[in-house]
Amino acid sequence: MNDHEETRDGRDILISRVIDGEACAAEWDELRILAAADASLWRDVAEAQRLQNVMEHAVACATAAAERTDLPTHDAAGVSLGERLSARAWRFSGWVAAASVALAWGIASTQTSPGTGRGSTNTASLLPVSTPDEAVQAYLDLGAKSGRVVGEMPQRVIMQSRPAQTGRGFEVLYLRQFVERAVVTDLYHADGDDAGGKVLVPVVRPASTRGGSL
Amino acid sequence: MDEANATAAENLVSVAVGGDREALRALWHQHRRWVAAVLLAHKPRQAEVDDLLQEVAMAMVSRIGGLRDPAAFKPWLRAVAINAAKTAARRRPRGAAWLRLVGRGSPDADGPPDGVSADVSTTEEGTRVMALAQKLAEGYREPLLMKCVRGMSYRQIGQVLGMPETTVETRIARGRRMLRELVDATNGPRAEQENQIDADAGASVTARVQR
Repeated sequence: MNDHEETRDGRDILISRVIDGEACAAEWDELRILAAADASLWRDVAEAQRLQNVMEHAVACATAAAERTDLPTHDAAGVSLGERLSARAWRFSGWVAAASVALAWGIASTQTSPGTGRGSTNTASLLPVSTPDEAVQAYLDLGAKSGRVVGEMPQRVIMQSRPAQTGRGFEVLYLRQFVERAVVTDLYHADGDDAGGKVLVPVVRPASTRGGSL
Repeated sequence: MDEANATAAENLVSVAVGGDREALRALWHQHRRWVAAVLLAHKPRQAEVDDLLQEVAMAMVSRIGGLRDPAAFKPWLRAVAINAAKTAARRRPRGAAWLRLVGRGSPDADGPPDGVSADVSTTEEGTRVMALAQKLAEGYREPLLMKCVRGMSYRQIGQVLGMPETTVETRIARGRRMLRELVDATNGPRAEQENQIDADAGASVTARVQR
């Protein structure tokens, strides 16, 4: 490291220690002496302090999730798996909620593209399915072919875990999420009425829209 | 005192390695904030810290039994977090496709859809500064972000990164300077005008930061 770099490092460290509240009296004296010769040092201290404050706030917001994240270590007393499933499913459906649409569709909606639904079972029975994984893969393959299955969400959501009875590792219950596509006759979004109750409001299809990306 | 704390921390890790649920939980609570900062430093832009934290928590529960040296817990947990972030980066195109599926904007839009958390977008300035921080080399970015976790000392950061305290301090100091330079570069001519801070302004800064 050359003299210039050392000097620059010394200046940077001094600024850093000042804004971290780590500077001792001697370092403050050094700062004042340096600043007397180079007023831009004050600007750098001020800017470093400002950026630190901005970043601390941003990091605090970004890492606030940490406070909400607990370990999947054991059954929460008094809470059924179904309730937790529901809660988790709600959390992970956040990306759907992000679109501000709660969707509900009519029973008649199962009329999708040809080859889906019951019509596919015969084809599926021709596939060599002997394990759950093969069955899932067959579902994905057939679903993709028919256009019904879009894919699987990348994350698996841990619902419950406990030490495995084998004495090694853990037994986990997890949720896999598959995204499917359907053409529906009726679509509703959840809304609130004047009394604060929830109501389903039909979504009106724009007359000029023939279709579009989801 | 430090030695006693270190021993207590290692004891907690040992108990957790043995499968004690409460110890595991306590361990997670102690460390999850800096884990989030590590994820923030390494994750792809579109990945959510929440989701990655879940993965790290799960990995910690399932793999801690294999940890042989309790003193190595922090670097180990950091490695788990980095792996989770890298895995998310590998599947990023797929994730982006899901967002397009439900998004309202253009499929090619850069940012996340409305309503989907951008993690750090609490203020425009915060978003801008964090975006610039992401441009720093990893070796500077990570300690810099960890230093933004309230209460995290150089020493604690050094324990996580497996570095001497002085190295951490130097990296943070350099990282801060690089960030200032990036901010200056993006501010352009306006920055030049703001350079006219006089000694009076300097004195007020002194009063603020010396408390």
